[in-house]
Parts: sequence; C-alpha cells; structure tokens
Amino acid sequence: MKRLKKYLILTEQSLQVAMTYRVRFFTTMVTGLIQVLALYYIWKVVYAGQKSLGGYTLSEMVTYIFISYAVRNLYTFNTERKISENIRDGSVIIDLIRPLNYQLARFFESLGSVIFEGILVGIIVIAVGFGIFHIKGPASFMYGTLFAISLTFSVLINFSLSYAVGLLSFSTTSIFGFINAKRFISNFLSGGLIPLTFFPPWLHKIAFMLPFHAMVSSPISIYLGQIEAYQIANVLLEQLFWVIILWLAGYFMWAWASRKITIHGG
Amino acid sequence: MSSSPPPIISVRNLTKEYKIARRTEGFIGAVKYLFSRKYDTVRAVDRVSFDIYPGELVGYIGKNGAGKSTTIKMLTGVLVPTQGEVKVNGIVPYRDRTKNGQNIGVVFGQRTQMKWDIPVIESFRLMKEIYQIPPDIYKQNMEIFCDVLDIGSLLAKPVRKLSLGQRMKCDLAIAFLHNPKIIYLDEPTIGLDILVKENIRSFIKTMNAERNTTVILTTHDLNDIDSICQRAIIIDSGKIVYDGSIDAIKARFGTHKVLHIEVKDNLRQGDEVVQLPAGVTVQEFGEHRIKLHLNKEAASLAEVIQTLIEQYNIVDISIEDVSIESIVKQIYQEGWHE
Repeated sequence: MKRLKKYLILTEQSLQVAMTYRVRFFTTMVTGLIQVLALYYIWKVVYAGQKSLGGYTLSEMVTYIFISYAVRNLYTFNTERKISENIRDGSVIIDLIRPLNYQLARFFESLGSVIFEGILVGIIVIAVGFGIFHIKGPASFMYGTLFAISLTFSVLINFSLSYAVGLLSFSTTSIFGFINAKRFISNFLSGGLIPLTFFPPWLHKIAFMLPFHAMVSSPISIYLGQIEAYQIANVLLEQLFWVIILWLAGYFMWAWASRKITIHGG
Repeated sequence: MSSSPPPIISVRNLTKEYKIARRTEGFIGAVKYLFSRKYDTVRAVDRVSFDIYPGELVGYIGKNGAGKSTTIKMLTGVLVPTQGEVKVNGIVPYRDRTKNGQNIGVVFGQRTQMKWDIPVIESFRLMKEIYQIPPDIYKQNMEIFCDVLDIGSLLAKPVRKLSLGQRMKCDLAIAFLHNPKIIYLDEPTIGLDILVKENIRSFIKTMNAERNTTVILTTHDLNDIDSICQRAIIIDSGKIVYDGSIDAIKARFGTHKVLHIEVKDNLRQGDEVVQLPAGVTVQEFGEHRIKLHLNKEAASLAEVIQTLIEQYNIVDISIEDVSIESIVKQIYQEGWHE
C-alpha cells in the first residue's frame, strides 16, 4: 500500500500538469470534435443508400467512430516524448537517483494523462455522441464491464509500446521519426481510423498478428457486442498476452538503456 | 583518531573510462563512421582513492572536465566504475541504486528536480511520498527550511515563475527534506547573487552542524569551499592532486601576498626596469597600476616596498592574502610538492 502511494502521487501530479493548460484542454476538445464530425459526414456519404458495409450498419459505424475516437485519445503521446526529452537533455539522471522503479514511475505518470484525456473524451462522447447522434450504449451491462477491462488492457499495451519507443532515444537521435511512425501505424493497424473488417484479407491477417488491434479493435468489438460471450475470454487473454510481452520488452529495453547510461555515460 | 567511526564513503582505485567514437573529417570520414567505428579510450577518473567520514564537509575541486561529475555520478550510483571499489554507507551504489538513493540527497545547480508547471509545494509533496518521509519529520523540516531559506512565500508559485536564486533555495530544501545522511551538491551557487550565496552557505553549514550531514560539494566558486568546507580534494585530469585540509593549503600559501600599487606616473610597457628581489613576480603592469605577487619566505616585504618607493611616485599600496582561487591554479600547474 505504501509502495503504491509512492507511485500514485506521480499520477496525481501529472494530472495537475495536464490541467494547468486550460487552453490546451479546450483546443484538444474542439479538434477532437471536428475530427469526429468529419468522419461522420464522410461515412454518411459512403453509406449513401446502403444498409451495411463491412458488417456495420450506419448507426453502428457512428458508434464506432465515437468510441474509437474515445479509445484512441486515451493514448496521448506524452510518454515517448517525455522519455526522449529527458534522455536528450540529461535530466534522466534525476530519475536514476530517486528510489523508484523507472518503468513503474513512467507508467503511473502516464496514467495522469490517460485520466485527463479520459475525462475530456468522456464529455464529448456523452454530450455529442449520446446527446446528438444517439450512438448505442454497450450491448449489455456485462459487455460494458468487459469493455472496461479490455480498455484497461489496451491502455497498458499502449503504454508499453510508447515506453519502448521512447527508450529508443538511447540509440537514435531521430526519435521523432519513430514517434510519428508509431502513431501512424498504431492508428491505422489498430482499427482506429477504419474498422479492420474493411482491410483486404492479407492486411487483416497481418493486423491480427500484431499487438495494435488489441488497442482499439478489441475493446470496441466487445462494446458493440460483435463478439460472442464465450469468445470474449479469448480476446481478453490475447490482450493480456500482449501486455505481458510488451511490458517485458520494455523491462529489457530499460535494462539495456540504463546499462548504456551507467557504463558508457549516456 | 582513536575511536573515529568508519568512513561513510570509501573509494579505492576508482577508475572510469569512456569510449569515444573517433570520427575523421569530411564526407569520406562520415561514410567510414557509418560502417566501422574506432574508439578512443578516455580515462575520466584515474585510480582515485579517499575516505570521507560522517559529518565531513568536503570540497571537490577541479577544472571543467577534470573528472568531478564523473566521480559524483559513481558515488550516486548513476555510473558503474570501470575499475576500483566504491562504498557509500555500506552500499555499493551502482548495484543497489534505489537503496542508495534513499540515503542521499543531490542538488544539480544546472538542473531542477522540480516540476516546471505546478506549484513548488507539489515537488515537496512528491518527495514526501517517494522517500516515505514520516509526517512529523516532513512538517518539522518544512518549518525549518521555510524559516532559514525564506521560501515560505514561494511554495504556492509555479516553478517557472521563480528566479534562479529562489529555485536554487527550493531545490536545496528538497534535497535535504528526507534527512539524507549524505548530500552531493554540484555547483549549487552557480549564477547566484552574493546574498543568496551567503544564505545557501549558512544553510548548508547549519544542516551539517545540527544533523551531522556529510556534504560533498563541487563548485567553481572557491569562496564556497572557503566558507563551507574543512577539507578539499583537488582533482586534475582524473587524478587527485591534493587531499587535505583547507587550513593546510592556507598555511602553505599564507606567506604569499599580493601587492596592489597605485602610482602617479602613467606607466608604459618597457618602464618595468625595477630591480625586484627574487621571489617576486609582476602580474600586472600598466596605466597607473602595478600588481605584484610575492612569497615572504623568499623576499622581504619591506625590501620590495623600499625598492618601489625609490622608483615610483606612489599614491597607494594595499597588501592582500593570495585568494584560494590562485592557490588552486598554482596547484593545478605545479602540483603539490611536500
């Protein structure tokens, strides 16, 4: 418990930092809204007269747009940016002298922005999504609960990926290329931009071999009730598998990176 | 030293080598660098040994690149030594970095531990949690620090609005907050005005006197060392050139004086035909001023002044002790020969 308190303060304070920027709060909200509306009107044109595309009715698609927007925005790209900045300007040394586990500390810090963005997108989805566009709620209470669990896993997956990308700064000076690549690939292959059922079979296959689909596609398909109850366990287990694999990858990358600082002096 | 406690910091033959990739010039060099890299080995710290006892105030002095920060980083566990042993409070720092972290406080003058965007008090709260400081100690320390460092009114301000001096005082308080046994101060007074410097120096001395905190201080401002430390370790090119008391340095160089002479005549280069005794060197000569450095053991002060009076129309004379700065410079250049 005491150990946890040590880390929870990091979450609280990164939340405070996020809230310091009220203007950013509103601009993020407005740009998010514009994105969602643009997607809505594009899909409306695409659907013109058709009942269902890629297994989605228009009303399901609208729900998809809102929920995928919400899920995607839980993942800000602060983690990798912050890690790489700290490495480049040398302030990582301050993290090294504190009695904290580096990976856990970064995780609890990133939770601060997850909560912040969660509140933000929560407001948009409830006010605009449910209020104006009448999107659907989760298929049932059980599906809603499982969606929440799945969402937790996807937050962990995203953190682990960002963490690993951030640590790449130890070996490359062109980290921003990697950050952008990760952002684009994960948006696309996660189903964040369009549902994975729209992908050609070969790409669909590739997408399901990679961890990205577990970040957006998995929780949404639970939310929409597209997965039979007995299969949900499989989906959650697969997510858990990626959480463990990627967390371990981050663990070993830090071991490598901190060796690089401590042996080679950065 | 019959019943002195064991050293809190013990360093034996500590050595750190860096490999630096060698790159030849120009485009061809860049292409070569892409495929094969040759490394030069640089020894930043070279077989350094010393013991520091609880409650000591030690100045760690050296030029830029002498190996000061590298040593401090090895003591804090941030760097793994290439060779040699280091023990801090019974712990090998790089093997047990987090455990060591609990015992130490660090101030980097060039870098803040605080979060830029949120009020100062939040950084204190952060330290309270991560070092698991008991509430009564936290409260007591906050009261003392606010009083001594006069930072009470700053706590509600965001860090980015602090002046450098205010920031430094807060960073210092943060480093001392969990009552660490050892404090490493890396250039704590850099860029600060004299009042803040004095405040910081007296704070460090007070903490040492009251809590027996061991202090390792690196600085370029030798007045810091002079007013805070009893012992100095001087390092040059990775090697220790002096380790001993500040008083011994002063005693050794106490016979050295600096003479400032103001004269009526407008001096020009080539006028310095004065016959000066051995042991006197001219440091400045021009306009209406002469600055001489002399060793009393080699030359008689009276004799020198006599010579000057015969030659020049003197308006004013002042005699000063040699600054510790020029002493250190001399040790750098000539080494410390017993």
